[in-house]
Amino acid sequence: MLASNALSNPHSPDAESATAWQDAELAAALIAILGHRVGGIRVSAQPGPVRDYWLSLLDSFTANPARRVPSSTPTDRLLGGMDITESMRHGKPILAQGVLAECHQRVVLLSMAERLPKEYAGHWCAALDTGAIHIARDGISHTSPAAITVIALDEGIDEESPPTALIERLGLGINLDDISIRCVGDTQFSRSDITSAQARLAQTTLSDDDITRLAEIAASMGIHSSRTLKFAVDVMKALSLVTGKRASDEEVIHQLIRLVFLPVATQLPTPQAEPEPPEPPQDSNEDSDKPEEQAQQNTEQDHEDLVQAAMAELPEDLLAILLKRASKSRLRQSKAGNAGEFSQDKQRGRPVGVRRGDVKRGHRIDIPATLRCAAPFQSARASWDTSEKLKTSLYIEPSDIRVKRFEQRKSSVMIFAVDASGSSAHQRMSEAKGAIELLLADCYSHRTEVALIAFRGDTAEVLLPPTRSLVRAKRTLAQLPGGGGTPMAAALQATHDLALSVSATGATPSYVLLTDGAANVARDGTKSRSAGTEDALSAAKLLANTQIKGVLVDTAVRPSARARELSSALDATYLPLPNASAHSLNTSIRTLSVA
Amino acid sequence: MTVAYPFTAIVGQDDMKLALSIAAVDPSIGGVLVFGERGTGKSTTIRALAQLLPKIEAVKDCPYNCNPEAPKQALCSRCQSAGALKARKIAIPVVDLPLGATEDRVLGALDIEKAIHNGEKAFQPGLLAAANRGFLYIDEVNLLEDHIVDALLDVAASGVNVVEREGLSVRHPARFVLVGSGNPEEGELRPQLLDRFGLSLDVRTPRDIPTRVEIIKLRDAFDHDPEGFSKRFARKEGALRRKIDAARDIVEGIDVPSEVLEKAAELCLQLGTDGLRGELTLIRSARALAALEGKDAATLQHLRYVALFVLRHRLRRDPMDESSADARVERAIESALA
Repeated sequence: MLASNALSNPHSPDAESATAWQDAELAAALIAILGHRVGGIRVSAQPGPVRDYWLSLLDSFTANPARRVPSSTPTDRLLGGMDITESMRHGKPILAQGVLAECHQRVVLLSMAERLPKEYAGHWCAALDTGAIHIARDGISHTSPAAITVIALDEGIDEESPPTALIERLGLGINLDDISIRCVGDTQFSRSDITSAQARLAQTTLSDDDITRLAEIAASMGIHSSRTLKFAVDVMKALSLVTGKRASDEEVIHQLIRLVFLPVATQLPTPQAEPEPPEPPQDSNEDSDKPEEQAQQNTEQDHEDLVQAAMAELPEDLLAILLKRASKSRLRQSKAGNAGEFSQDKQRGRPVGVRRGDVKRGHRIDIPATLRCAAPFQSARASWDTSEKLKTSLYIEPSDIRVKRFEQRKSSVMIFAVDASGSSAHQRMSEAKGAIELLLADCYSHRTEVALIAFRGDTAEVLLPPTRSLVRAKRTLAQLPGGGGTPMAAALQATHDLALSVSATGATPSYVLLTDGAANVARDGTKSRSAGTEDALSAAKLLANTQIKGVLVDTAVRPSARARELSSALDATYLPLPNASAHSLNTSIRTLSVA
Repeated sequence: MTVAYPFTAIVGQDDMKLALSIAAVDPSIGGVLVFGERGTGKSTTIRALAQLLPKIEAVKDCPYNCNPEAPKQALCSRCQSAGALKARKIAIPVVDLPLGATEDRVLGALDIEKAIHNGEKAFQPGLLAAANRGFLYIDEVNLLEDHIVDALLDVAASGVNVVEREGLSVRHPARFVLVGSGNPEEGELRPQLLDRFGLSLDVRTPRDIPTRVEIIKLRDAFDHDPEGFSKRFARKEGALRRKIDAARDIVEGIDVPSEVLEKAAELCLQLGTDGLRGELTLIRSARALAALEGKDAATLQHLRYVALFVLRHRLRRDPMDESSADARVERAIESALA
């Protein structure tokens, strides 16, 4: 690689680990200095001694030790609400502070951040954005300061990740997983370094050139959020204070790229121009006559250098990481899941909260919540009570009734649409069949129902309506004959119709389409490649519009453009059937379905 | 009270600023929805609006900010029964509806303190009361809980908040401009709620480096010294405030030529938007824009300018047409206003 950067031999694992720890240490110092201004940090690491040491290091930098808050902390504890006992005692609504307000100007450890439910993430984001918590609950409206600094402990493996809205509001990111315990040692910073940096922070400014450079690097890494750029500016100031180096120092920029930009990068930096072999600088010869051009060249050169620097900083497997991340977010949109959508049920499932409700409608009453609602009104109601009944009884009115809400995963149905046409059958039929058999076993273990559609000749046929019977599915599949044209439009139509009827019964459909994409039979049965393809694409759009998740498995010998085009029309995940065992196909589909 | 970032110091995002100004000129347009990616300054812009709005006359001590000049039936029950109404100037309210708000604070509920101490059944007005004649801002509107959305939809449609709970029976005026912001990646908006917004915007971060640098520099300067920074922009803020104030005074008198009316109808017909709401909002927005510019009549140019804001969220989804709503509206504008 041309980009011979300043780092000495970054490839030995120990050196890499040491650099990573230096970054982590620096990040702790930055968090301690900047606090709420950078929002916080995402710490990707499994629990272990390195993470524990890092957290104790952070505590030694800050005035107050961090407070641990579990990600499952519900809305009423996060925001606060009415303090029941105090309110009863004083006869007026008294606010119980929520966790976020209690943590004003403190560091909060959000443990298991990858499990933070989306509905709670909004509260965290609001505190990070405005530095305050504005509540309007339980008869109380109040604004409390809540300038928190969030340490999001992300223990996610593979696809689990904290909500993106939260990640975006955390200025820094580190990964401690690859740091060897041997590299962890005494720190070069002390609490007094931190406080003196804090004191000088307000006087520190960045030049326009420095800011422009940061903006350019951010743009080259596909980061468009102004928020991230603002974090970068603040981090740069703090960095130059703790390291004592100028903001334009290359090493400082590298550190900043690793800590601020890399965690949220969406693309590899694209060099504006062809990176030429590094020429020995010969600028002293001709600079006198064209100073302006020279200057411009210089900045261009600078920019290129920076891009190069950024590229050199990126871990070698970044592309793989990015691809993984891209496919992850893709999955979120169109995953062929075995886990069904959520449905709200009155009686069963996972409790997701409490709301006002009616006893008559078959809801289950949440007795503590109901009592809580009625409690503050007791003495008032007693004084209104003119019925001369026992004044000791509880006064509960219909408006007090709170019911539990439940959420239940719906059952799901996987529809297999198998291309049994001549072109497909000759090529990979047996492999595809093998793959489906393995998938069926998987579906069974996830309690997913399966349905089978086969298409050949001029029609598509539902061979097997949704069923849990593995045996039937296997037998039907084994008997599947091959040969004839590829009536793709009819197949997609059949998949569409079956999927809609499945969702009408309350289950969640998804489909796996195994084909080589070579449509050659039109909807009306005429054999024509162009009409067949055209009909197939329009049917694909119809299916795509249902938002039903799907996977297209390309069974052609080589990945074909037509199958790819079809999968993008379907908005389905495209998977070429690898020239490998059916088992490996199964693992790739399984990673999809578990998502 | 912390100082909010000045509206006029926001770099770029001209569409968002214009749409909010239009809604401030004519509240009957019915709200602004700002959807966009993260870090675009959605919330900053909307919060900045609060400091910019002109003052209005309101009845003294009225929790619903009743307009002393309004006809009797538009007043709250207390102002209706009162004799002479004392007026005072208040800033147009901008009320934040935070996530996690409960129904009792949104709609209003029994005043517990009065109930227990005095045994008095008093109504404690909620956020909707405070937002009457002003703005109701919901950040992350797509994450709002369903039962709150239900309550909002009803009130936004009727302009009246009816509370029947805890033995109370209260109705009060609640006409507000609904302003919502959100990130579409985090959840879809219910179509009924979508329809309540008069204007909708799709904001992006500026991609060119100098603009982004300018944003950061200003923000940095603001963080450094909020008061001083706001002072620097005080003159600009004042100018825009006066412009909006002047536009509010003349907007009712702006002439809408029949040519503009016809074209507005043609646009809606061509796009197949449901109902008359689209057409009405088109005309009102064009009128408000003309008023902002100090013109005495709305022109086709004004109509063209607001059409995308007004129509992009009102299209029926055509299952066979994949092209984006924006492209379809633009096509219709081209053909109708060519």
